Amino acid sequence: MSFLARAWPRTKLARREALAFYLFISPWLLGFLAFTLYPMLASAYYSLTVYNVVDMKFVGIQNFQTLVADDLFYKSLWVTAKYTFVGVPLGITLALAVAVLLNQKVPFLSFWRTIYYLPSVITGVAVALLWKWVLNPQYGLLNYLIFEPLGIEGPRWFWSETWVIPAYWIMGLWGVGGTMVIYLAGLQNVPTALYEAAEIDGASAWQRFFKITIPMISPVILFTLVTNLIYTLQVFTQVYVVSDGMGGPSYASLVYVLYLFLNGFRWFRLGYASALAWVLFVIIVVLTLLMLRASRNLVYYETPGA
Amino acid sequence: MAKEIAASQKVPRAKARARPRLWGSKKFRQRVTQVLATVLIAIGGAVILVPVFWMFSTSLKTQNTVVSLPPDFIPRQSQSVEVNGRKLYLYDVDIDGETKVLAAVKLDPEKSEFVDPNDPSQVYYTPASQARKHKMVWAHWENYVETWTFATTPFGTFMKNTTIYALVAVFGEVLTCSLVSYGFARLRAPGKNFLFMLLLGTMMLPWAVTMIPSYVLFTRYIPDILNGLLDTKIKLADTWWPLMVPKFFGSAYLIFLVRQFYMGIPKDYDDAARIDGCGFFQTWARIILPMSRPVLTAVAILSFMYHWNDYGGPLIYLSSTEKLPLSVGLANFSEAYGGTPYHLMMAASLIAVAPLVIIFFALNRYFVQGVVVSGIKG
Repeated sequence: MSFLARAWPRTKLARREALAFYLFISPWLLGFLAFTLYPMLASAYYSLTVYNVVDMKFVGIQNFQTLVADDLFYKSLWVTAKYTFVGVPLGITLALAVAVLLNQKVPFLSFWRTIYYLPSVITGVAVALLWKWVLNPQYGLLNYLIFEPLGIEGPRWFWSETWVIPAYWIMGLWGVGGTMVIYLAGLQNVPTALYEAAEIDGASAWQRFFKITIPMISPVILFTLVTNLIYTLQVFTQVYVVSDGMGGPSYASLVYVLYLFLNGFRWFRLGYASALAWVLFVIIVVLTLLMLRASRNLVYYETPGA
Repeated sequence: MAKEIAASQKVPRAKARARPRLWGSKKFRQRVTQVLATVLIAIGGAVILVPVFWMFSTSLKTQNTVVSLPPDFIPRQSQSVEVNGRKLYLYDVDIDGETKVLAAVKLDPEKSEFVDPNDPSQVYYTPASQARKHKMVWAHWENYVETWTFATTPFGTFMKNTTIYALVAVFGEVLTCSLVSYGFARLRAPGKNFLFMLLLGTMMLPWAVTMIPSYVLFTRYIPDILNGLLDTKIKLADTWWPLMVPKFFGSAYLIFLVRQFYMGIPKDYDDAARIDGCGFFQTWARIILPMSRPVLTAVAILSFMYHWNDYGGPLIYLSSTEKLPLSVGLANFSEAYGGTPYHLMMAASLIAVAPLVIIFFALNRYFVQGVVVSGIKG
């Protein structure tokens, strides 16, 4: 309480300002309490119960004991890891490459930028259906254009346990324009004087890229890495639509949030689903903190102390 | 000592001079890079556009031509004619180095029989290898009508629902984010830094964590409380309320974006307004709000895009067909129709994304601006 007394401003003007602050942010604050904090606490409690919307029974850590013995839990973790830890680096590298290309003086620049960004606008169900059709093993476009001329039978993509996750990588790469635009903006913020100076010193194009471009946009790379990772670990819509909510074939595309959704809303195991949700939350927090820590010496910030 | 350094510096210079003149010239290298970049960009652009074109072309085919092999980029189909009361297929036949469109009477590897459809008395004999099915470009625009009017998935209703949802969400989020951001960017109060860290922290929170309790809250607790207080029989399951109401409480990501923009507006504007007698609310409404059109447009577009495509939320809360948004309706279409009618699914997908794409091309400038705001300041 004494802390509050010390923290609360003394002058009338400052008190009015503090009051105004809380009034301005009240929509978010109320929303946070009702739609974030309360659900978080409730979810933590549900994770210790057996709950099917009607009856709730407290069971302690039983859900977590079930979880460590659940094959599908490990399967979904593995599927998500495969999708994320290959898909995200692949996407980020390609996005950076495209951004570097689109930062050159080429004809019809704004036209190309528009085209590359287009797939990021039409995300969701339509894109999932489109790729389910393009990657159709028999009648689809990709196998016809790439594997047919080589005389090899193309992969069965969404219908193959081996190829279903690579199919989602391809789908993700098609929408790389969203990340690309962020890099493009980052590249345009690098002072040209640095490149000119390096050129006078005789630095090659590769050297300029790795010694100037990469360090200068390293905060942007970190930002996209963290946000894409958090986003990709929660992949749901595409997989739900393509696999008709089954995560098939043989659970080979059972991503984590899909498994959680099935537990919660198909099998009404709300307690178990909540336990799964908390495990995901912990994974995301740990990974984010690890990345922020690991990047401390790798990321260059221009403003001191930032 | 000084001489040694001078000598060692001379070596690379001499080397540079020894390089071939053409490659050594900066202009030439720049030209090569530019051509190479253009070629790569064009290839990448094609990779992006080909699936879209394929989607469009598929949407104009028929159930049969969709699965014809090899896949055809253009919606084409074979033709048949009536000759002497018999239905015969048309073939492109090579005869004496000339290609003729003929009707096939009998196909045989050695000796196929063809007649001229305009003059059936003209008969030609040739091995079947000389003949290919004659295909005509035939765009089935009626696929769009069939999809749109398919009774089990009323796309008109879906589009209306999605439009209302997206517009309400944009209105709620833009208004709230602008207000909240002003507080975080401009006003001093104890606890502000803590609350701001909390706001950033919520961005890490998976939707999966809050999904289940929010569902229980909206479908059980809130109706129970309301009905207990008001003696009513309100039900929130299978309504849009649980999806729309939270939009008026802001979104952490968008608040962060707008706040970053507000931080860039010089504080002198606020001070001047304050001296002229404006309160905090007036300063926001009259000074800050008019200046923040670019960032609010960007936020509106991001929000519109997100809610137009939103699938998970509606999937959980809504069940009656007439309440569904485009995303869920589109996903349900193939099951409702039976089988996988890819031509109609592509038509439906194009209908669903068309409004977004039109808006994208109309407001292209603001789209990129939105991403720039969101990416760099982060």
